[in-house]
Amino acid sequence: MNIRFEQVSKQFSNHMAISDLNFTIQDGEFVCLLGPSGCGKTTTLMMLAGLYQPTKGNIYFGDQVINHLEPKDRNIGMVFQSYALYPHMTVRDNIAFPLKQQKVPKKIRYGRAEKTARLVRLENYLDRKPSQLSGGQQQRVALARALVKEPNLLLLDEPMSNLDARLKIEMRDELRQLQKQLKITTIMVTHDQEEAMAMADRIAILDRGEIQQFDTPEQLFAYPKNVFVARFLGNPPMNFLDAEIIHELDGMIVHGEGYHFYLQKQLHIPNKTKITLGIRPHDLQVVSERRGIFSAVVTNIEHLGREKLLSATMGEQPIRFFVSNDQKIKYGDRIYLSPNLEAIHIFSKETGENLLWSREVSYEQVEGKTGLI
Amino acid sequence: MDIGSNVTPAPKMKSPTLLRKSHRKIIISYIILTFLSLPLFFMYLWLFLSSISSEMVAGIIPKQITFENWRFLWENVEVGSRQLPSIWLATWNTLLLAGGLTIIEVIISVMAGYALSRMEFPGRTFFLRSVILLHAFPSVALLIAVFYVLDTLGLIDTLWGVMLVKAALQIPMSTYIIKGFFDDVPWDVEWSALIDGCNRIKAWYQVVIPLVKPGIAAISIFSFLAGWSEFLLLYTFIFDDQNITLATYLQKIIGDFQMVDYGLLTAAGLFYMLPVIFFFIFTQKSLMQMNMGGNKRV
Amino acid sequence: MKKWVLPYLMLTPFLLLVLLFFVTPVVITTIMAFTNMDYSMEWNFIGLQNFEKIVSDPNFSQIVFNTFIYVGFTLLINVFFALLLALLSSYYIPFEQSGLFFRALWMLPRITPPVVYVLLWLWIFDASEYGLLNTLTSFFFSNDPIAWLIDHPMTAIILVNGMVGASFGMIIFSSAIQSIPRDLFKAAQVDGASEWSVFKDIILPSIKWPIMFVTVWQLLSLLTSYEYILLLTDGGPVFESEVWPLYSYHKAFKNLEFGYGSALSLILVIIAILLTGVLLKLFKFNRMIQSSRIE
Repeated sequence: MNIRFEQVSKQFSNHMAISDLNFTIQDGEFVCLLGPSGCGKTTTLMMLAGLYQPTKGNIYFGDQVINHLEPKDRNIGMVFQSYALYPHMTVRDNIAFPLKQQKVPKKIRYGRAEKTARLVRLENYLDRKPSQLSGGQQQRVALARALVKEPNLLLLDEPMSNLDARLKIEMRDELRQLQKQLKITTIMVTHDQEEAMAMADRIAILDRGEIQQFDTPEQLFAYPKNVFVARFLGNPPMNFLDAEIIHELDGMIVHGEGYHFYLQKQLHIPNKTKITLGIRPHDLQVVSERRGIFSAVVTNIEHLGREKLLSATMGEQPIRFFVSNDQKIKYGDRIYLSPNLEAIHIFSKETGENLLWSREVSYEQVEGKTGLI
Repeated sequence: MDIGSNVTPAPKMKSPTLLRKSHRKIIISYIILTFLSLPLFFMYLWLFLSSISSEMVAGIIPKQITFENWRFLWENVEVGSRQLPSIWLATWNTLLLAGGLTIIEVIISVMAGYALSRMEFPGRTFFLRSVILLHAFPSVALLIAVFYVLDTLGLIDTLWGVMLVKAALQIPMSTYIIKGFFDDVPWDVEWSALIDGCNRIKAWYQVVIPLVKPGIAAISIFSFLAGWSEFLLLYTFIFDDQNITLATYLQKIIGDFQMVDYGLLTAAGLFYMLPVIFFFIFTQKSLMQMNMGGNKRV
Repeated sequence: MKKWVLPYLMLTPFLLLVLLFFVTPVVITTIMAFTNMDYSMEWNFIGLQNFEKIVSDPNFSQIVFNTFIYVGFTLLINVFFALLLALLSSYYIPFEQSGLFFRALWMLPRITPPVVYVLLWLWIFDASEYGLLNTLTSFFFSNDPIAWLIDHPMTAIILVNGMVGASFGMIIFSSAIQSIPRDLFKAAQVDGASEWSVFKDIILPSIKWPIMFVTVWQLLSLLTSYEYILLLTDGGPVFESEVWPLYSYHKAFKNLEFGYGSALSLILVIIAILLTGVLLKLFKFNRMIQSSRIE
């Protein structure tokens, strides 16, 4: 069953939570809605669940408009951030609850509950109350409860934000495998970009009620459509530097405070347009003074094990990059950096749009790559 | 209630060193509080001692233990020239009143409390406002008109009439209390129930109501005690001895000022207070949180 | 439209009872106040005569005076004595259990059925040497027994009501004091704050609203309640402890002057409605309204 949003808007009494949302999710796809708090991702999920109704537009499950369909009639499963287990019921009863509502006979529903519990490795905890379980176990109960009725659509609302870091990574894998195994269309809301990158087939990045970009993780990372997407994905985040473009024969010069370099690309923008230069920390290399484009003073060194993350300042502007462990750089050293010119991004200072990877390019690439997964 | 991870409760702060106060101050505080509380202590001590003694020295020291004061349990007592009805009739009527009141009050306020806490409908704000207003409204000022209403409905001199009036006076408060409990039920849980296939009503009684059980227990105890202790409405609206309750029974014995039989009175009073004492001992902590005024969150 | 049906359905019993025993009585009281209805239960409209009668009532000044004294002094006990109890039991005594014990003790008058509670006071005030007060005075001062309820009826009703009402304020103040983060007291100690400054700068700000609330709330209930007075002195001797609401009750149910009683009540009802308005303002009402999150 694929899911389609068509011009969907949601207005609350005093503000617009979602405006003109358009997207399609394919059958069996794992999609993340990613964005900062208040971006409308949870509202979108609530509309899918049927707890909120769109103010405008239509939501389709397959060919059917389901705007006003009651949650119970949608055949969906949902895992909440708080897990929302029923504290007065045992694990068994919690998992069997959706089947009880469908009036499945007791014997059958307990059988299915146990089968689902095995799927999430809970078979030894069936008689416990939720309060006697650890956070990870509670989350599995919630997952089993969502899956037991074999829903057409699985909704996950920040399901892992209450788990500790180690468990989170474990659950990610497990959830992902389960989803692929059951081939169930899944939509997950999260504010954690790493989680989204790790799990999703495609990620929809939302901000202020609008989709900024809806793409595969690779595409989003390599070709962010605007500053917001670029800033949101990647840890540590992309470096941003102010600059302007000066046209040259066959290319242009990117000119900023204390640096300039030549780029063999042409953009259809006026001469001396102010831009934001974006460079991911991994795309910067420490080089000799002669070959360096940026000159900076090291202000902080973080040891990450395999490599080191360095912070430095270029005049006023901070910049971060990685170096290998054998490089002997000390706090306060002046170093010279050179960016990988194939991987830099140029954003319009005014609109934030990516000027280098234009809209058309990135869409074509998407169509080609995603199609059906 | 805690649905998240198992949080171990913070250790209770018992050690006075955390709040280092000089011992002198604490001792003085104890002395003052004890001194202030002495009259209370003696009052209830007397109630007990007097009920089992035939005569008291200096008002409070029993001279001789007797159960003669408890004779109302096996015979009908005469006060002055009047014979009072059996205490068991009064007890039964009181039980009927308190029990009936509890059932009515709990059902009505759980329904109204849920609607006000969780549902969206035109006029909701107005209703909420009126619940709080009614909660504060001094209803006894309306007793004369209530008399007229009961008379018109043919409910004067019936326990039913008193039960309904008392329920009406109480429901704003119990609705307000239970609404607070409903407010505290996480939305996620209710949403879950809806997604798992419940409609609003089913989600309400299968999932939400079990979560507000403590609140229901609280208002039950609360309304039972209120019904059990009621005096004014019974005194005003009930005349027939067939409808006598413990409160009016006791009041009839007190009635004649000149010849107070304290032994009989205290025994009957203690008998009347038994359920109250019982509930008090077992539920005082939750009763305290209830604030008796019902304003759970001032 | 359909989704409105359910909430209204759930509210119906509530609304019915409120309509029957709040709204209708208010209307009836208002209308009845302009009649001279008596035991014959007939509606004879007499205009403002009842209100003229109130002003010219020979007992008017005494009853107004009594009401003021009673409400004023009882309120003082209800607020300040309650504050004292709350401070002692939840701040000065750092042991939770014993604080709880004292508060529970002071809850007793409130949960004791009024008839029994008054019985206890009848013993304290008993006119013979059997009463507690007389036992004490004869022991310490070798005084002759005093008929307290006849000689000092106002003092008696104030004490009796004050002790019942004190627990209300005590509980509210206690929970306000207990909700102050303990770290604040520790910080104050580290900063070397005096006991007085702890009270003034930490405790008082956090119980300012509760005090206002309790004051108005108790004012409201004292103005219109008379159950304990009815049981203890019944307003006597003669009119010496008669207060306004009790007078209205007596007029209606003893003298069967329903019209006149209603007029007396109506004035109380109006005052009560005004006070309720004040209360709602104090209550920070909007905070208590949360909207539904299911559509």
